[in-house]
Amino acid sequence: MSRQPLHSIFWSFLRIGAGAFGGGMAALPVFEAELATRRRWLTPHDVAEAYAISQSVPGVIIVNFAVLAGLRFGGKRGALVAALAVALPAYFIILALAVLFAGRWETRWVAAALSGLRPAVVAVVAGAALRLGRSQLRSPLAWLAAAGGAALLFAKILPPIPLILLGAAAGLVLHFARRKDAGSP
Amino acid sequence: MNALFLLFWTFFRISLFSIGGGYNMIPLMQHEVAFRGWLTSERFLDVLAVSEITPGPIAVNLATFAGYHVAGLPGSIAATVGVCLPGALLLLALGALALHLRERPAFRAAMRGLMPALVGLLAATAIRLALALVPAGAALPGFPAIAIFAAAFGLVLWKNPHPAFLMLGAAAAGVAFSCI
Repeated sequence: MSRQPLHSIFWSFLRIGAGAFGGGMAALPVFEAELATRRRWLTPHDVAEAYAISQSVPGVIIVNFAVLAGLRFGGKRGALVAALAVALPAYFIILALAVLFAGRWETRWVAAALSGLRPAVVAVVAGAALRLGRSQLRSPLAWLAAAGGAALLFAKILPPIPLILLGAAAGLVLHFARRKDAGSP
Repeated sequence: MNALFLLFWTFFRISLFSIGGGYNMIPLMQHEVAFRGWLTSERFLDVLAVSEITPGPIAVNLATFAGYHVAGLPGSIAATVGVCLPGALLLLALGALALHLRERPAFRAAMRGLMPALVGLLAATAIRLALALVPAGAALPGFPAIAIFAAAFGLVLWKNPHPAFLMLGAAAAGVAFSCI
């Protein structure tokens, strides 16, 4: 929408960075509350669109969103300010915890809490795999490819980056092969 | 190679190849920090748990912690800048083009091809991390770990609660199990 002063951009994105519990997956309501409801800088539709775009380029969703919105509110300097502000709370909180916890990971209560947290985190990652599969894999072949990918990574035959490139390349090859078929009589 | 540059470059690369949003950066992170010997699987799980409870991007949380663990304050800055930069630079370079990227048929086709790879990566990473729950010398995780995993997995699939609530419940369960 319109240009905004840099210090307002900074404060808004600092608030977003400090309010986005659970990372990018859960951040859409936080963006909406700050930028559409509190500031009225963007419509909810604009927020949703920028959120979708932030997920379709590589990188950190929340930082990508901050760059997109910052560009709109204050050009390149706005983007820099927004990205910095949105990452600062997470950076300092983790830094503080890392310093605080150094050498205390094995103390009784910390170890007890972590013994409960670790299996729950494994469940969250496993749940993310299943959820993504259910929403994005629509054919048995796609599930088979996913299982093949999992086996290749697990057996240490292929590291993640080549697997990702392989998937994207397979998608492109299928796409252009289909287009060629459709184009020929 | 200089430790700081290695941190910066590793997290830059992780970020550059993480696309599709959500937890998709976790397999790359886990692979790299294990491969470089920066964090054990247990500590990786611990930091991931903390990331779910604290605000901000999970990628920044992981990068900051790993960077600090490997090379102190300068390390935390190098890793965090590295993880934030690829998306930011790409969006600055693409500008208005980014708005239309999602509508390109070739882009959508590449994303469709990516999805099975992402699901497979997440599944393999979940299994790898689950192995970290098995105590040394045992064949299976202890009863508390299995019970908490089952309850959390059921909740994730059934209600998908906010991860922060799930983590707080799991921490409480861990403390309760340690008292009985």
